[in-house]
Amino acid sequence: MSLDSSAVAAVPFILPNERVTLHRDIRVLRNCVVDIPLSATHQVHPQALRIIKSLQHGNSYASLCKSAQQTVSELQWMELLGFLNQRGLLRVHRTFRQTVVHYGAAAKAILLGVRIPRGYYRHPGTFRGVFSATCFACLPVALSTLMVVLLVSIAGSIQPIHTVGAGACLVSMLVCSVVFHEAAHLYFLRWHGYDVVILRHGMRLGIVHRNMPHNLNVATALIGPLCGCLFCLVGILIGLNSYQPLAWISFGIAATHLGALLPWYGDGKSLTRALRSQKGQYETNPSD
Amino acid sequence: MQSLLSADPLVDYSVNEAGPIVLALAFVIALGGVSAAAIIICGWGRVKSIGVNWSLHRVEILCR
Repeated sequence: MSLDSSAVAAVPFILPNERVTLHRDIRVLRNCVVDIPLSATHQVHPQALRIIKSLQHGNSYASLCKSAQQTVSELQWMELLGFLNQRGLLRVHRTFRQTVVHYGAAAKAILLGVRIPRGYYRHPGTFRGVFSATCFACLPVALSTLMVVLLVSIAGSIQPIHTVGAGACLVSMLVCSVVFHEAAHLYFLRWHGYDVVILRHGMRLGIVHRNMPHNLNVATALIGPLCGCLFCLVGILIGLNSYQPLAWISFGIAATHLGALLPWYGDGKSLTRALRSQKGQYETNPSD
Repeated sequence: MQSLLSADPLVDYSVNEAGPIVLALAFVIALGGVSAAAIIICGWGRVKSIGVNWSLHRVEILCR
């Protein structure tokens, strides 16, 4: 089988002195690695297995690269790293000083026009996992809202108290509605007996599970946006009776949850795919 | 070149839910941009009001 180019492109930005290990969810067996929560078995060549075992013990990135390139080619090593990163199974440990140096080097690379693939982070399939993943994903929105609140207060057009109120409403409604959206997917899947893991990649979230029947896929894709909208509806009703900006903000966020059902990305894409494969199944098997 | 890995086909690891968060960020950045423009046009603390004229499709900034 040829190299997976998407995995090669997903190698995260790691500096030579940073320590790299594997996530505790992975178990290395004789000829495969097992993603324990999802019971996913990935077949691995013995040469790669040796590298994965050394990754399990953890070492600096520079020494890992050096030892890996004695047994496999550079592209195969990059594919292995990207593969583990895409599944949230790679962990990079940094001290505070290393974190500062890392972000400085990343900023410099971005300014030079280099595209930096970000890491994938794995959260447990629990409410706490959903909440922490959502908080991290919404962090850029919270920080930019804070900056805009400061900017609008400086501009002097609106009383600072109103700006702070609207900003706090926006961030809290966004976080709570996204938590409701993702928790709806999570509990629906768990209710049907599927084990779930949450993956976060920058501001993107994904509920990862084993393949399901098409009707369950359709229901899972619908339930998240609908629950997000229902939460926003409560916000609209509270806002109309007490604080009008809350109603407008909730209305806008509800529209974005419904927009997630558009067929080009997210839940809408999953929904379209599930409906298409259901239709294909009926066409190939008309007795159903 | 030969791949050393074969992923389990029964699990899809795609991460593609970003709609509400990305749109909220775009909205906040747009607001910030308008505020920054107002500060540049009117000066430090001298913006009287910022509004949108929907019929003319433009943002109106009034200075003190």
